[in-house]
Amino acid sequence: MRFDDVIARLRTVRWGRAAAWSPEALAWLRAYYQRLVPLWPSERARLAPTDRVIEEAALAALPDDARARIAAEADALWAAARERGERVEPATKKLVTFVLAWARAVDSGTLDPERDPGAPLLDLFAAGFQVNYTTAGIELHYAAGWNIAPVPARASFA
Amino acid sequence: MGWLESITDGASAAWDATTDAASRAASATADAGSWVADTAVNAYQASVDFGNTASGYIRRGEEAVTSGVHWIEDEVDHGTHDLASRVADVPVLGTLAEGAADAVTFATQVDGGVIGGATSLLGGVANAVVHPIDTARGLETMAEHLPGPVGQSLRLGHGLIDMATGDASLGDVADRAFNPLAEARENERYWGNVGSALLNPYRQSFEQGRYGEIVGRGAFDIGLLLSGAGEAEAAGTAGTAGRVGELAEASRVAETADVARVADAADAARIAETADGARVAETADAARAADAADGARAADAADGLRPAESGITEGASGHAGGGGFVDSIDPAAEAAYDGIRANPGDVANVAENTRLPPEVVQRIKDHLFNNEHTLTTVEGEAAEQSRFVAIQDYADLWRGAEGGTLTAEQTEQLMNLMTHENVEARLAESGLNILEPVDPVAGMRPFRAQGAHDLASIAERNFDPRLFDRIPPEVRSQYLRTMVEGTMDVRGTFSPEALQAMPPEVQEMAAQIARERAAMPVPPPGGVP
Repeated sequence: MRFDDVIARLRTVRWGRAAAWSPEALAWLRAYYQRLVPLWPSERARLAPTDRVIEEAALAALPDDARARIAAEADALWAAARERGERVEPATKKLVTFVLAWARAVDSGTLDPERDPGAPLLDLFAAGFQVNYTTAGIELHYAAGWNIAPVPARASFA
Repeated sequence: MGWLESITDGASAAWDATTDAASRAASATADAGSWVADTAVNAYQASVDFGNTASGYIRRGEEAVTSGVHWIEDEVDHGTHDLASRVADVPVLGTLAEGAADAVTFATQVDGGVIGGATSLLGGVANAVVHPIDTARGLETMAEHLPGPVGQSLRLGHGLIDMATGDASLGDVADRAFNPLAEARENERYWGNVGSALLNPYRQSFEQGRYGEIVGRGAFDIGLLLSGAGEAEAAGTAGTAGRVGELAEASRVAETADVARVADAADAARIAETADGARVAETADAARAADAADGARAADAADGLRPAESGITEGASGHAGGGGFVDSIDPAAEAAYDGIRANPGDVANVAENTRLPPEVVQRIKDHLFNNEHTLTTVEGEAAEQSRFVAIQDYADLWRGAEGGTLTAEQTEQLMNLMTHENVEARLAESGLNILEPVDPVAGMRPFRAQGAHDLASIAERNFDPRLFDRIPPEVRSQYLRTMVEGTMDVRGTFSPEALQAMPPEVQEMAAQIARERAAMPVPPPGGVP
């Protein structure tokens, strides 16, 4: 999906407001990790969802103006969420910047849309779930709770 | 130093055994296609030469050696398979060449496993020396779960014994030994759930497809166990300082054992001599765990039976904070936590910058960074004793709080974290389990709103009624006061707006605690808003 379309879709998201749990949330998380494999260092058995390795891969190649645009769009999203009384988890905020960075890469032709790790995350967020990373694992939040997934192992995607 | 000599002899014997095995593999290779083997040996020697030349520049540390060994293995693997691929389309010869290449790769990995065993000597042996029989049994179980004919043969033998003793039917044995899907499922389940400091290197080797390393490392560890177990066990109860010295001594075993064949032996020795505090601490922790009569758990982890039988898939018991199974998700974060643990002055600075009472900050630091906790893993299974897994963002927030450099948004995140950890610590002190156990069917920790982590997360979210309503009444009546007190330790009194959004019983409890604290001679706690 192209950058402007991603922004438009993110503006409709009600963060963590899914009415009930859905197994699809876990499937989207797994799909995200599946698409991380090409940038997942082989010596790292597991990666946190917002690991610096991912952050660098997503953001390092962006020009300054693109980063500034992403930061501005993200700030606008969080301000709107705060207005609505929605708490957005720190991990979700980071992931959204990744989603936007990969959308820019799709726009510039350096990332195949079919391999965009941001796409399943966008589906996850649009369905009303959000991600929190804690000492208990990867929390997938919905309106009335959360379920906690283990940090996936690279070997499980080989 | 008698035990050291025994270990040296044992290591040498283990080395001889593995080199014999490697030689046999090389002979088999020669029979299949000697030109492939010769080329591979040349590539291998070139890799060794490269390793020796570069050794002076190799970063000191176990990771560097492991990376170097893996590089050599990969070079040999790529070289031999590249040659084999040139005849891939030739009937029979292509198959033989591919098999020969596999054998060379495997033999190289065996050597690499011995190196790995040497460089992680203390970490690997500390648990094993306490239960040598269980460890040997565990190693056999591991071998059974190696993909391919070695594992298949061992599983068949094991199955036949089970059948003879009436513990399995012929169908069960055949399915386990010969059904490739059942084998793959069982192997994945087994290796995905193998944990503990002792077994992680084996699991990592499996995850990276370096099956030969498992054999090599196992041979090295067994060699140590057979040669010096008695004296090493005595060493295991010695003081930390003694173990540091022994580590340096033991490292020279690797030098004696001619490990220079694959990588520079002197580097392996220097690694141990320059071992950092974290590694020593890790070893000391393992020894303490053994001293604390936690052997049954170690034995269970060693033979892999309990996790394998639990039916949990790869990640389910490998979750963050779930008992040390994944204590190195992020090495950089682990190092940052080590630094925080070693810093005695941060509590006062964090307290000053956040305006929180030092005793509250100390409690949070102990809970989040220092202490081991009893963490539930799989439903119905025994809990694990472990520190929390390290999270980089938490380390960054803590250090930012210490330095007073946090932005407004980061300060908000810090106060949420402090609230969570303080409430969780107080609930844990009250005897509540921290984590919900993993549901073996879903492979996740379900939200039950009963464990300290879930309750702390609800408190952190200002007792959001949608979440609060999920707390079972009996849990609510027992722990509500602790939840509210723990929150107010960090946040002080609640704003009228926040109070209004809370469930009535939380409002009442907060008002009661506020009255009690106002009547106290010292001002009530509460950090930056």
